[in-house]
Amino acid sequence: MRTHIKITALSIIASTLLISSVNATEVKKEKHYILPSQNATNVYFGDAHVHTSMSLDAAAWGSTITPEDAYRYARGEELTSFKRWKTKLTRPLDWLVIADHSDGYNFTNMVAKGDPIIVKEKLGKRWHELLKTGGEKERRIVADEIVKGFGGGSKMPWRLADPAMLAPGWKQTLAAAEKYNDPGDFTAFIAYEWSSAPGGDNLHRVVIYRDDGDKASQTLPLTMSETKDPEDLWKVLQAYEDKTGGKVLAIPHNGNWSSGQMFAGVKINGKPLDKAYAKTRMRWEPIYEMTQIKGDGETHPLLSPDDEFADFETWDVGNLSFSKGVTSEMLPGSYARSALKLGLQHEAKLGVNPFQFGQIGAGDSHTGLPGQEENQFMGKSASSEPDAERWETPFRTSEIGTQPGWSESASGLTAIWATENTRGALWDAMKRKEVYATTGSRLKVRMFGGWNFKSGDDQQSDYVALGYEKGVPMGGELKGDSKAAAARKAFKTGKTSKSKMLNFIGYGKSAPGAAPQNDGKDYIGIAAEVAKLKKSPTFLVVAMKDPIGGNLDRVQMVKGWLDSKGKLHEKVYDIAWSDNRIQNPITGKLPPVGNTVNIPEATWSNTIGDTQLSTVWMDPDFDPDERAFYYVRVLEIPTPRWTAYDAKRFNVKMAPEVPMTIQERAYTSPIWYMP
Amino acid sequence: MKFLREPLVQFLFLGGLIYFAYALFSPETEEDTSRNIVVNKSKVEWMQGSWKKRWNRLPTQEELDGVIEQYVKEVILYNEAIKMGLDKDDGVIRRRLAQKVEFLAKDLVVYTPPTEQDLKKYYDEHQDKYTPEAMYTFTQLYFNPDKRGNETLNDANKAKEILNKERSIVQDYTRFGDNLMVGSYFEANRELHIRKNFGTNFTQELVKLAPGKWHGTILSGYGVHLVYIKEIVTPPVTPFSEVKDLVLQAWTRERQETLNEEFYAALKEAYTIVVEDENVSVLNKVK
Repeated sequence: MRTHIKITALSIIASTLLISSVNATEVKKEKHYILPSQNATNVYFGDAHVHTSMSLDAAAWGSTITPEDAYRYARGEELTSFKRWKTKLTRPLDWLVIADHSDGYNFTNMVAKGDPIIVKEKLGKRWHELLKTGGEKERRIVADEIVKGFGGGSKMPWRLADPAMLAPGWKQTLAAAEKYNDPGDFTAFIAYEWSSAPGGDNLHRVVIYRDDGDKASQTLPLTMSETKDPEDLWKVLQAYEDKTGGKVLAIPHNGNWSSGQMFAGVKINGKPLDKAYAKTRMRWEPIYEMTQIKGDGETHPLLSPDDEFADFETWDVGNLSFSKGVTSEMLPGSYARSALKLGLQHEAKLGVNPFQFGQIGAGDSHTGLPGQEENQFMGKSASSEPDAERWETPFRTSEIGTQPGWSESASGLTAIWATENTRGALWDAMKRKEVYATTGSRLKVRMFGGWNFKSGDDQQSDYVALGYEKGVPMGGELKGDSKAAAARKAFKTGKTSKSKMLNFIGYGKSAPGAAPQNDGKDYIGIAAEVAKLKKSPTFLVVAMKDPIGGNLDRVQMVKGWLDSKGKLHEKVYDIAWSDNRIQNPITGKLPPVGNTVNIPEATWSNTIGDTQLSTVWMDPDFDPDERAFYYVRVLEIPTPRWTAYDAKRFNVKMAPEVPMTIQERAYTSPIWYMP
Repeated sequence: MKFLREPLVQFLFLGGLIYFAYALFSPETEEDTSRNIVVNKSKVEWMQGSWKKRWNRLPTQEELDGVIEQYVKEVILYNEAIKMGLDKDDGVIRRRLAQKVEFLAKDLVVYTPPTEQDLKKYYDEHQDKYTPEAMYTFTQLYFNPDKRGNETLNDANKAKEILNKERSIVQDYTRFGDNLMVGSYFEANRELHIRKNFGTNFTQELVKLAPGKWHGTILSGYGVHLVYIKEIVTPPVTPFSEVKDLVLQAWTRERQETLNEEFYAALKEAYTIVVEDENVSVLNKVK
């Protein structure tokens, strides 16, 4: 904690020593001495979701890593893991969210220690004995029973919301967060996970406080033992804000394990979504964790059959409790892209979009070790830390099927565009959705949407300033002109003739400039508006590789829209790519970037791909009357997957179905167009 | 009495004590490899004691019978397992026993709390830890190999020559070099922040450079760079009084680690270790 040098000293240093161009008063005001560069904002990488041994399942699976350990690891220190690996991140993280399950907070530690509250119950005593005397097998049995017991809704002998169960552990976590939060250098968010799973379907939410411990300590986390209904969670969040004046948000994850319930068209009580629901959901849940170890949740190959990169780290066997198999009807409510589309439909009906979320990534590892990397993937849980067998040890298995160990995904991270590394600045950026997800890479990507970006804007050295000046950043909204929309409606439904209008604005047969006969309608006004709105939105996109990662293959624009008949569509456009490749003139498809991966050696070379890709893109299929969203997907060239590193390290031969290469990627938050 | 403070001595002493106590109170189970299990009075008292500790009352006869039955079952199964050699080569058992020793050792490793003088000495010896990092204000010009191909290095070197001759300090790439997403002018950046943007190699090179001149070429994950350092600000070391808590933390952690290592080293000395497979793993597994 040497960076935790006291503020006073820094202010003195700042005011006496920093010569030239440093604004000392500003330094003082911001309480730290990192000065923003001339760029409007910076990007901060972090893991938005890690579990430590405070989580009942994490500890049951064997992790002994405490919140303090996890913070030290995130800051770049070396730790010894459950399986005795000495492990260290290749680069420190800028911030960390420790989100332990509120249900059974610190529970397994209490079981292991034989806390009286636990062992006075028969079940608790059994678990205690199993943990005390048993080995790996017993630990797994207990872990499974605990997860099933609390996740499956069966009756448990403990009241998990009981402050006596919850408060001591929560207090420890708060203290750790306060100790390691270091404004300017490292942000330690206060957070927990509300792990609702009605019917075994994953509706989990990570709750993140903007506040320091003085406020966050005034209430206890909500447990799912009290309620499984997200609407109740939102009430509790509201109550917290009312009581403390603080700020808090919630982030759902793993819709792919929700049997389609994450983005269902109905509430928990079975009633269809309404306007109040949509508004409240967006009030509390501005972003969604869409890629993590338990699979990538962007889209599913059956949902996006035309997207050749759709089948990426897909987990589609069962739900959280592995009690229900996945069926195709469940898919639309399970994945981010389809949810973004469904949101447009709801918005058309309700006036508010309940799924207008930004996109982030996180590990959700239960090892206490955040920040997954392919070349040292530390696994989902203590039991899936590296060894020669983890690839073939099923992650979960039941009568519905098996989720193989090798399918664990070494993903992901959240990148936040913000002015400084503080709880306030980072949280505000999450709230306004100026964030993006990566599958573990630290590649950088910016997107701005507006009406007037010109080709070449992406080459300007002040493109960031330009982006903010002429448009909105990722997470923002582009609004249509309501007057023009009304005019178009009149034009479409009224008595005015189409040919006259087209003639007038220069698209028809007659020469432009020949004014139509005045038949009582204000053609000129209408036509002017129509002409204005023929213009498509433009997007300024700049992407740059991770300095130690793979080069970039391509940048894509993913568009989803709702047509006038109420039908949903999606399309993926290649908008910038490496190595001067030529698109196939007939199919429009870009040839693959190639593959330099040497699988046996688990190496690759950056001889293909580009270091940076940028462009200004205009939507060629724009219809001003159709609501739409746009997000950017950046693909890296193929690099070795963690399975290839494992195969090499442990000298094992894996089954042929195990993927050995991966194209790491980033997904930005969308920009929405609203007519 | 320094000798008694040695962790290994303490360990052996206490280890011996534990063994002795165990042998004293449960000699039957210990020496008996035949099929006799005697639950003697002291054992029963111990069971009652631990029951009382947990429940704050003595067990009823029924409960005590249950505990004894449980104990007997455990011992029988344990004995059978040992006879069958199930404890051999079981990673879990090995790990568990190793952990037990580690925990035991941790409690045994007692150190004298540091004096003010100890801390001051540590602070003096680790001044770099308590000095805020230097801040670099610099411009970088980027030469993109995707664009320039084989000419990249040439272009960069030519530009460097001209810039140094002209003594000019450009802040953007418009005249030479190419656009880089993160920009070209960086104000008061610390190593950590430079590393985040440009990677390790670039940063290691940059911190060696003197201000007031164009340097290069420097390689990064992106390509080739020229660098001009405008200014390096090195803050003074933070006074002892302001970092005393941090010094205490660091001192304690270090002391603990040293003692643990010494303890392990002393144990290890008695062993001859032969590793027949010299494969080096990417992850550095604990030795």
